[in-house]
Amino acid sequence: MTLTERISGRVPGRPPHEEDFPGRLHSPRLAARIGLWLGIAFGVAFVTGLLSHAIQHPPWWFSWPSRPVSLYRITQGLHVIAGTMAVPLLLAKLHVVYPRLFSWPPVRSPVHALERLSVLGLVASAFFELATGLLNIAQVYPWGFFFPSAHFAVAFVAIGSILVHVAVKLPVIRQALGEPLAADEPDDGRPGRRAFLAGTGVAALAAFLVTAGQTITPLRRLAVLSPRSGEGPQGLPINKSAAEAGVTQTARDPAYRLVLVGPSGQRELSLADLQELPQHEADLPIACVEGWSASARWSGVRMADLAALAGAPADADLAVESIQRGGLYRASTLPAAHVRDPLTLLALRVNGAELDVDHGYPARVIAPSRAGVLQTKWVGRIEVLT
Amino acid sequence: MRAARLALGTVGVAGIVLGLLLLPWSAWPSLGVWSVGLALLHDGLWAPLVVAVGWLAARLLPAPARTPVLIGALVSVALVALALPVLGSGGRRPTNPTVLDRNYGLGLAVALGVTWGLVAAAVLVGATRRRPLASRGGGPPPR
Repeated sequence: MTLTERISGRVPGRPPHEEDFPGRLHSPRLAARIGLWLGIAFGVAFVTGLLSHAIQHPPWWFSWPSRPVSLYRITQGLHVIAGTMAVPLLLAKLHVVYPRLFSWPPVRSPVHALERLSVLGLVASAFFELATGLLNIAQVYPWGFFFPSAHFAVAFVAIGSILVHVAVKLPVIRQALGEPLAADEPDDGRPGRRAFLAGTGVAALAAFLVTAGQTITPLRRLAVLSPRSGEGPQGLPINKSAAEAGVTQTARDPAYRLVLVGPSGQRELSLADLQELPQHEADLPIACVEGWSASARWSGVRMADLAALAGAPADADLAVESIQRGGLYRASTLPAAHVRDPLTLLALRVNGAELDVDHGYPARVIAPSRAGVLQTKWVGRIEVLT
Repeated sequence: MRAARLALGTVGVAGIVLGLLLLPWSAWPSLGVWSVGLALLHDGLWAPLVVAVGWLAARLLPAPARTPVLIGALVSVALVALALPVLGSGGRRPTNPTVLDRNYGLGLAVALGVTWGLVAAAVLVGATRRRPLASRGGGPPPR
């Protein structure tokens, strides 16, 4: 019998039904295990994503510590790593449960219809989160919405759909996880559930190895698919260059002055004035919302010294503004906890040299455990908020 | 368990409603493409392709090769999926050379090469280990 005849003998003259997929992979025992891993990945991404959102748009009840210095580097690195590892997990999970798409009859009752609709919502929102997240870290935006708002909103749909799905399937999940994975499989030497689960785990590990180096420095050389190599001017990647911020000329202007505003009045400091203030060093990572991070040795003026110079009370936040004219991240609010931290600097130098203009020359904020977009570059104005 | 299911379901529905309220609906065509569109692309094109390839592989591949090839295929799909966003030139721009600053084509080729090299090695090792077992009349080795 030729291959074509064998295939045509297998194809029924109607749409496929769930029972047409006899493979032993299509089992709740396998689905529940991969689903558990996938749920953990989405859970980690959801929690770390909420944290990152709260750090950038803090509600009144939220405060984020300045120590340990790498805390944001870790949480946001985990966010992107979890999302990346979820890609093979999601595809594997969908392969295992694919026959369920053809359950017959398609709709048994209104409740069943609702459940099927919720699964579509789950799959659609999961794809949305992973696809937009991965494209965002590659800085590709082939869509008509603002990425952070949409990614944030759909995260609630995805995590809510996961919870509904777990609620619906809980009896099946409990039974499936309680049973040995492969006990009811015939031992005919064909790849079974153990092989598929192992392969899924290896694929998730591979996803980790080829991308995580942009967060975990020792793995950099393996990270052949990470959007950032970790290199750049003065050994650091850039998110927004001086040219993109439109400050290439103004940042180098000798007439540059830092305007410092607080209870003791307003004063203007030239770069030379800043260089004459006591200089301090700090080893701090720059940690981007896009998951990459890199450590550097920064030096400059302690933010606490500048706050004191402006007459700021100990619990005051600082409003920091860049000389750039526009852009989403031209200004940031530095919370009091970070202002007080002796490692928080208005940095003038990095890795032993004056800041590259792409890293914020003449002066930039560098604070421990903070999102890179809040480490305002080309600082032109600091105001005490009271 | 009933109480747990009810609690999970309630919190889940609340999350979905909150998400739908937060959605920037004015961009609904684009939102639809990148959510339901991707789901339909998966269910209508990708998944049937995988089923067909799996069906063929199960019939064309010799038994000792099937498990290593399955694992290699799972890894390859992950690698290619992760390479798609960085392989295109969409995110590359002259004003910031630190974005997408690797040779991703080469990186993907090396990663796939290593993967299938390991698959080939596993097949060979499996085949040499299987022979003495078969001569004793044993079945396939335990996985």
